[in-house]
Amino acid sequence: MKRLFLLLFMFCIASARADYVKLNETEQKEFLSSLQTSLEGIKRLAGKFTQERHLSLFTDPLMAKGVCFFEYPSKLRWEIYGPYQSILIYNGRGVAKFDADEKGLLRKLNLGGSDILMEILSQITAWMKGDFSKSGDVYALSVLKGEKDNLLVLTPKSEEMLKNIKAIELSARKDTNRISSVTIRESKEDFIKISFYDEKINPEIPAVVFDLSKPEKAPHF
Amino acid sequence: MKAMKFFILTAFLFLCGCVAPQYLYEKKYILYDDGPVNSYVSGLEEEYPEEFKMVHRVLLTVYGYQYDFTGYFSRDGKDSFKGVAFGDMGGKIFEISVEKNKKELLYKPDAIPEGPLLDGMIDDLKFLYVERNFDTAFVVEQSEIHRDLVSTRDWKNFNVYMFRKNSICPDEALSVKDGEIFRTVVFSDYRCFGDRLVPAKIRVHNYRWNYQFEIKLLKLVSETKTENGFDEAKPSTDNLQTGGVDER
Repeated sequence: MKRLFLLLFMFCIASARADYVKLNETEQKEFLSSLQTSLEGIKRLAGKFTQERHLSLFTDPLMAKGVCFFEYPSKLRWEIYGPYQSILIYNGRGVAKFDADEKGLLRKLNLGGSDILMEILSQITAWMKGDFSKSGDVYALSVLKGEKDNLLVLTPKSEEMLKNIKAIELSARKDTNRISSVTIRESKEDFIKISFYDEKINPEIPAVVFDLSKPEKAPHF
Repeated sequence: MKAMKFFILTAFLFLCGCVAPQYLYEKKYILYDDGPVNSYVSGLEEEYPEEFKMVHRVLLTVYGYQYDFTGYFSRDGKDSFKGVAFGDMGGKIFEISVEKNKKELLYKPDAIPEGPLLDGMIDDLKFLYVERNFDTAFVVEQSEIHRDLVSTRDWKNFNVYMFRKNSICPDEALSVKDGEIFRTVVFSDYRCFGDRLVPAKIRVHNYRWNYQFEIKLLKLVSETKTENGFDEAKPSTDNLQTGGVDER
């Protein structure tokens, strides 16, 4: 009986893994090159996202909603509007963060650790351009081919970083080669999944959207 | 002679720097009636269930620099709790645990020193959500509209909760340790959670470790009830007022 359960268990694991097949080195290079070509055409991007935070501490995930704007080469606005308000703006040279006070007025934070944050944002904007060349020093990269999407798995190389992040998974839609979700895995049960939807490619984005001193209202899309 | 004067002045300034001013609590009028004590104490003791989970938005200010994160807190009984903090894009900032009053720092980056988390943040969370020790508490009437609940071991180590006269929810609190104020708290925006009233906004100033934090409650879960979206917001395209940016 025990053997049967063990076999069933192994079968389940095998089935789950069968959804994705790991690409070999040549296939991986080809895939990354095609991804970069597709994403290079995106000079501006606006999209909505949901963030699901899964924690072993909680049974239900905590959901957050937001909008993001990207402009080539490295401008990014990451705005969360529910259940709290927070705007993060990076323009390649500096970073600013705003939150809303009790009256809904935006206040600019005197952000601590901004140098580390800038490093992270510079890496994220590079990924948005499909440029994974600089990530090789920090992460081991592998690509898994699925039925509907391809999964780029970035595994931290340093033991110190592995204590905090086990892997970052970027899911690229097969039809468009665009990133549809990002999952940051901290442990088996703890992870955050950011899913993008309603994306607009190359829309007009006013320059004030990326203003570090006073963020204007983001345009409707 | 000049050198001597300079030495004395330096020594004097050094001594002044070492001796922090002692806090003297003013006891205007102590109420010897048990009624008010019991209602304040039971209000505070029943403020939170013995087991619950919370999600907060936190803005921490240290030496003028600000850090915002989402905090997850879980209390398990009278002497155990866990807390974990995550940044907006998912990275873990720190994780703490108290198991039967034994403090443990489960994760912190190298850049954050241990003391403010182990002896600062953990004690603050314990004060806010866990510790309720009112064996020797009494009520002081400070004015016609203002009463204090004082919980003291001695006049060098005590906590004071401040109430408006007709309310059983404290507006403020302060903690004194070794004769010095080491923490002040402001509670506001009380919301109903079942038959309990909990503050959705809390501001803490920890003088010992020189930091301040503001907590905004997003979610509260107990065995019997879940309260979501304490303060549901909309995108800036709809409702953020961008007219005035408070440059802090």
